[in-house]
Amino acid sequence: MKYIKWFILCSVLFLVGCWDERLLKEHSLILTISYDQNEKEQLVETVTFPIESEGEGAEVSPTTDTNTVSVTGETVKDADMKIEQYAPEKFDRSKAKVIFIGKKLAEQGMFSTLDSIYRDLRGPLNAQLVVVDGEAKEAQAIEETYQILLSDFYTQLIESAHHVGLVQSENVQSVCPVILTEGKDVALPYIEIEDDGKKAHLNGVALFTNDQLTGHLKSEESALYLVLRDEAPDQTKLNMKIYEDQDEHVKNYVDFAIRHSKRKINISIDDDKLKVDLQYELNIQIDEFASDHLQSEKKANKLVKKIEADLKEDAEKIIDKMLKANHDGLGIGQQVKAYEHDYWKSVDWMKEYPNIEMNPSFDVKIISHGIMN
Amino acid sequence: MIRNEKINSLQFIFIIVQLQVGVGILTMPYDIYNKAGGDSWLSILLAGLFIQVLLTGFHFLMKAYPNDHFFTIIQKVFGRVIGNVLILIYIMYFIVLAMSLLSRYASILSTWMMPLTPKWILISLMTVIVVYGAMDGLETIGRFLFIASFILIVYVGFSIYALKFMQITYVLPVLNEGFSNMVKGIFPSLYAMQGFEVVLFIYPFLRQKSLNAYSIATISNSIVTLLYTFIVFTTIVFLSPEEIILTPEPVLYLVKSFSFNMIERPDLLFTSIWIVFVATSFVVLLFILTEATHTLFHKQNRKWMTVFFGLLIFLLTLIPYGVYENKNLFAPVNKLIIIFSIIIPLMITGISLMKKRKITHEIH
Repeated sequence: MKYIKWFILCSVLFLVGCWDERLLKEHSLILTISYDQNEKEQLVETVTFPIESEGEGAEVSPTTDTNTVSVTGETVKDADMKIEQYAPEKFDRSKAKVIFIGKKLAEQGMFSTLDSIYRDLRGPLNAQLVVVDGEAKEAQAIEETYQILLSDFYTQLIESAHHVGLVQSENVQSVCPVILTEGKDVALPYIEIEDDGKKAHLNGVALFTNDQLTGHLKSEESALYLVLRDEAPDQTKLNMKIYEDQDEHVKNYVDFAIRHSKRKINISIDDDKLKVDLQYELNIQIDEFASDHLQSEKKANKLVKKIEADLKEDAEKIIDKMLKANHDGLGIGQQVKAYEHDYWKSVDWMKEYPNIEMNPSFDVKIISHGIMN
Repeated sequence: MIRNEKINSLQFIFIIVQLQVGVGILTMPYDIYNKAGGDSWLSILLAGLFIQVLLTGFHFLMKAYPNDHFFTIIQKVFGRVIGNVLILIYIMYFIVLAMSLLSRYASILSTWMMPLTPKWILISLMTVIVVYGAMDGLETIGRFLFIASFILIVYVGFSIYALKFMQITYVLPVLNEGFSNMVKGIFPSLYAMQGFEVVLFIYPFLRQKSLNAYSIATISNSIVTLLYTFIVFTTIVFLSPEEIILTPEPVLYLVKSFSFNMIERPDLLFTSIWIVFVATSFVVLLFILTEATHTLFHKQNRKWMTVFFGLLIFLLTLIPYGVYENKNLFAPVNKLIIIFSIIIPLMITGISLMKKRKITHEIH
């Protein structure tokens, strides 16, 4: 009895309530956030959250409709506070799935905007980062979301594109080390709005220099770009025009999937000029080749030579764009820092990078052409 | 002179390991990185080597006084008066250590998990559990610490997952910060590994078996050194150099960035695990404190002494408030470690060895 009395007395000390409880019923979960910059360089924050479905108990069906609130503030937290003033709900952003960055803000640099997320212990670090061509809030206003939640639409869009090797799927956390590192840069999925804001589609990747948007690669280029980065998944599909003069239009093209790829980087310094040799070994599977007749190895070899030459040409174009944008997506700087440290210390890499010489070369091997020759 | 309690070799190993792996395990990569950069993992290895040398020194002391622990040795070497003063100073030192532990625990927990919960709740919960654990003496502590050590595996498991995303170029080229910076990195490494001196307090309680205290301490030192090296290495190759400097608890930050299918916030789980490390370190500190008073007064009620120290530390820890106050107050504590864990024990080893030699000389 004596112990029980003590136990009850002591428990009272700890039964004063919970300070850090957050009840789901009191919060509205923000699903997507977008950040834009207006003419006065202020921040425009737009959030979407699901409309609570009406009806009682078992009849509640998952809603696919969302509400949108848009406010202007000086900083992210300032805007967050204003949102509370505009909408009756208490918002919780910790479960946000997608964060859109407007083109203008991205060009200014996005790291300062993300600061509050990195600082917040419940920050949505797993949210996908997406750059929107134009204003980011347009991406939240689209009508066609294929009967799923807006946030699911975008995450699935990016995930599926990531699986076929069109874009990298980057979240708030994964970009952080890359943005901060000198000698490697990020590329984020790039969304374009069409049909007067009714539809959205993915178009390649946005190239960054540190945290600033400096360039853009279209979908046709982004797959090869990921191959160059050595981050392409093993099902990356490429479409390539290899002939000009075939009688049928479709016969000018070949489609193949990369089954395996390997990259080797050789760095050499010649008269203080950096030369980078990029060697790629690709094992491919032909998916579509209307000209047919791959049974003869000779013909196949001719095709391989053609593919190799065209890949090289396309890769050079992409590298040109990267150098122009001062975008070190391949992480050459990191390699230089690790293996040519003296040179790294003697130059200002940000200034030196656009002047380096990069020579891609491809070694392609057809390992399969499907169930038909 | 000392009580009749016995622990086995495994318990012995993990008492040392658990005291060393305390609060510091979360912040250690940051502290070391600030000094040694990409070579931090080498600094840890060097610090481990240094501690091994120290342990070898302690070995002679332990051999010379097989039935005493550090406090009774102090009394024997310096005599009653000076010895007791020194023990009192040691008591103060361990109280400050416990305060710094508790205070850092509270501030990390409140920044990462419970920002609104008042500090006194966080530290009183911890103190109650720890006092309860330390009340019954070394045998109970040994058993508890041995069981608690299985969570080390979970801890390593989480970190291994991070290696999936590693960027080896962050640590290359090796020694790029220069040799001197790597050596400077030894000091924060030593602070993080503080606790190895506990071997001097518990060796007489070791049940005599084939292994002696020195070899067992060597095992535990290797465990801690390798564990720390691994964690520091993982952190450096996962977070970029600029990112580590921005995150005072890089290990937590690393875990926070994962998301599994089942667990969306693994860092919460991870923090809960880490709380056990704090508790185990604290338990051992309380044990050493009661052992000190036992040496001073000979007769004491261990239970009430533990409660007394628990309460005292709890009340003292309530005073500092805020990130910077904590930092400023407890930064010098690290330097004390050098004096109390390294210099004084080594000095006593030297003096006692000279004394012994003199005695054997006179006999012959």
